[in-house]
Amino acid sequence: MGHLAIKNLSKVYGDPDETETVVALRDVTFEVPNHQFCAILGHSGCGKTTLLNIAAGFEPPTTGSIAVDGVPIRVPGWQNTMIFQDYALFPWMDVSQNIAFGLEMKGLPAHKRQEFTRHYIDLVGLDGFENKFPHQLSGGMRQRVAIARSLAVQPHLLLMDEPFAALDAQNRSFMQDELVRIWQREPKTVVLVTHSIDEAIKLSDCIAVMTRRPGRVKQFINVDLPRPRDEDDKSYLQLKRHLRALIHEEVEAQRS
Amino acid sequence: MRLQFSIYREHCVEKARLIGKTNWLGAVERRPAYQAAQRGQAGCCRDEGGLRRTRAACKVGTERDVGGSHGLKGIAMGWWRLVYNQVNPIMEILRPIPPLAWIPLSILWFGIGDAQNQFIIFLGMFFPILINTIVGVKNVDPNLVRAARSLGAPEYKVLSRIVLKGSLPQIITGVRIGLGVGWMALVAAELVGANSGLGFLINDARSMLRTDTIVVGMLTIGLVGLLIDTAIRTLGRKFLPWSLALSK
Repeated sequence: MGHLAIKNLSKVYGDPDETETVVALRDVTFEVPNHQFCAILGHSGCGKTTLLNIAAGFEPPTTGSIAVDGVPIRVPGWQNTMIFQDYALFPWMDVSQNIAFGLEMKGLPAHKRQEFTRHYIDLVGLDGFENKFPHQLSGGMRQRVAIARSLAVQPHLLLMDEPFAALDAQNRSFMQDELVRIWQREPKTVVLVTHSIDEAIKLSDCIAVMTRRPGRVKQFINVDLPRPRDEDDKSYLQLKRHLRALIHEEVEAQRS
Repeated sequence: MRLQFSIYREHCVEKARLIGKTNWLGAVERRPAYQAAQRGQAGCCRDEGGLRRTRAACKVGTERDVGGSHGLKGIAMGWWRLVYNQVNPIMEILRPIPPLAWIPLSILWFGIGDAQNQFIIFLGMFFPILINTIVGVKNVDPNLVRAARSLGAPEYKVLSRIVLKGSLPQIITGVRIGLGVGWMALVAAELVGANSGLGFLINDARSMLRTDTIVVGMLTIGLVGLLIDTAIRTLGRKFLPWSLALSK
């Protein structure tokens, strides 16, 4: 469950009758097969977050369609849940309450909630932190809670908005490995927005490189490097060089 | 005619005060602090004094329940733009009127007594709580609301579990300010339109030239105010340990 299909998707901000309109996305089309990890890579302001917001159901598309398993996405819900850059943990709930929130909203009985919460605390490695509040945790820990909270509702589509951008380099690299480990144990269709080329290559099965505004898919690349990905591998470096050239083109074009 | 009479009365009171002035100063000198304290103690022990204080505290207490409904109104105003746009102009006209300016009207409406005092306290508490609640609701991190929706929370759950919880520290700040203003308004209302209570007590003592009672009454007002505020802060810290605003 979780085949994402985006077809001719456009997003225009502002009144279409007025001249003051901003075209954030134009004619975006791509598909992410079930249980694949897809990165959307682009320079800042290319509309990648807009795309994610539409996929999460926070905003409607202006034209085009977006659907998971043929069911169009219209409103936010547990089927297409999102992980935020600033974690967005509920500060008045401890770790297990945060994870159980979505389960409660789904209407699961208490013993089921407890069972699921336990499972996901173990999965993300938060053993012993169940009763800590978010402000007592480090950035990496908080993102673990956010990942567990989103996975617990069993989404068909998991969306991530630069989830590790607020972490320091070492923590980020560690959390990327952790994310791959968790994803391999609980496969989900994931769409991750990032501006980091390394993050995209390290994590994804496919990468959609976006153009500058109005955002389109410049190139859709399937990454078939073996996991875990070795940063010194020849084909890794080759892909990295290729992506860097693509991004560079867009930055240059934006400047001129 | 009436005005003239009241001016005349004020004049007489002032005259009496002047005549009694030497006595007044003398009274202060003759009554050292410990005697005043003793009197305060005696006042506390007497049923009457205790009753006055409890009644005054009860007045503020009942108004706090009403204050809860201010909070609800504030949440509606902070959450739905339409409600805000409709209600805000009326609020903005009423807000600058100090609660004390309502006292004459309040006496005419409710007479002298508890109902009159409660109305004034209500007015004093209303706006601090309302405005702080609106600000609190508007300051709830929009990502928390989106996260809740993204986890499948329906609108009423978003309101009750996220928006209300997230704005609680600010609402508590509003209640603290509101209780301060309410307490102030209570004493003022009792000064002019009551036959019991601490405000009445100190005003009554003035006409008897009992400085000690006045000072003890004032200190009691201050202490009870401090107690109420400390109680709210302690409760806030106990029940909202995650709030940075309340932790210090």
